[in-house]
Amino acid sequence: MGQLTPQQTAQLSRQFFSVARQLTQYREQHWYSLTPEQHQRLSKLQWSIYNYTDDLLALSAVLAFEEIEGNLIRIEHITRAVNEYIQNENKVEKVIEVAAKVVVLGGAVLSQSPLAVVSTLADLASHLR
Amino acid sequence: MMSCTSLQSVSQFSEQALASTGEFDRSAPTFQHLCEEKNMMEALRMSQVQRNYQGGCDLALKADTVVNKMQQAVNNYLSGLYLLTSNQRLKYSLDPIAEALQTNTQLGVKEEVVSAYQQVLELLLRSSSEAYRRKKTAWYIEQAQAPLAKILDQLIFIMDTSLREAVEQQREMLYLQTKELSEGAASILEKRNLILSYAQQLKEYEHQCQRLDTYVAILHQIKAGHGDLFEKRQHLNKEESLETLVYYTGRLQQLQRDFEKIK
Repeated sequence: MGQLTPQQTAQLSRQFFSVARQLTQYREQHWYSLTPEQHQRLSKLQWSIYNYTDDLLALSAVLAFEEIEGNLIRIEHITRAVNEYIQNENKVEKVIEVAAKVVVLGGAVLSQSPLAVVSTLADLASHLR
Repeated sequence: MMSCTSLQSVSQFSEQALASTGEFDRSAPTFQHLCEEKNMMEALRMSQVQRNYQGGCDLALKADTVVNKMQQAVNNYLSGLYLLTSNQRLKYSLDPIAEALQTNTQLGVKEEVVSAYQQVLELLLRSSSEAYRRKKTAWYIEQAQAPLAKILDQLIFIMDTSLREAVEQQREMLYLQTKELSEGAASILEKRNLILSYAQQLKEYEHQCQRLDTYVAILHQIKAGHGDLFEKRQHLNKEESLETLVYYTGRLQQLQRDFEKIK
């Protein structure tokens, strides 16, 4: 037997649970004619079935994921590429900032003020780091 | 400026998609929570006190983990798409250059000339970068379409079938448990309290199903909206070609409002 699909697993859960549901209906119809022991045995069976059906539904989710795990990796690669592109684009902001500092440096050199040149150079260096 | 507007439609769609799914993340039913509730119901039925109710929930925890991975993948992609198409994020400011030119009297550049240069430069920079961004955006949408659609399909299946049916099964088991306990109740008061507690829990299950239904509708809209984007990826420079995307953004807004109404 091959591996179950998520849909088949959910379908199994549905079918098993319909048994638990029918047992509820049966017990309701015969509530007062069933003995406490019979009620207890039926109840125990219903909860056992429910434990399986509940697990089958969780399993169907896990199988659904496993079916498309490759797609998840693909979309993560694409997202990473988008983010890298965005980060590179943001470097233009940095370039503009540095260009502006160069303009200021040009002004300082023109003013022939050594103190201004030193201070602007230090500022520019800090931006290039 | 037409190009700005069309990319803005994409950015608004991805931003709204993220906002709508975020609502669900904050109030979602989980497999783990349902499993713990089931354990509590069983302990109550058996009149047994337990130290914790997490036993036997390994599969539920695994299911929540994979759901989380899938949601993260979708959200990360949408965030990237939003950042890529958002003007705010990628707008280049030439203010530093303009300021530097103006403050340097030695350079002798007049204020109005600086302002004119700044405007022209901004326009050039924006139009060239926008054309490039449109091209990149089209490429990303094209690459993401198939895997995104598959992930969304599986998420829809999990929410609409696996998790929804888990909530419905638990609702029926709660009915059975209440019936068993109330039949064996020692007094009218005890019976009344059981019925009241059942009614309250029933309402909670109803809300959980409503949240799941709304979330599934949101996922359908994201899938359809991205499919529409994929069809029109080569025409991102034409505002009119993305008019239908505005419809999907509007639907997502409405669904987010619906979500907020569910207490």
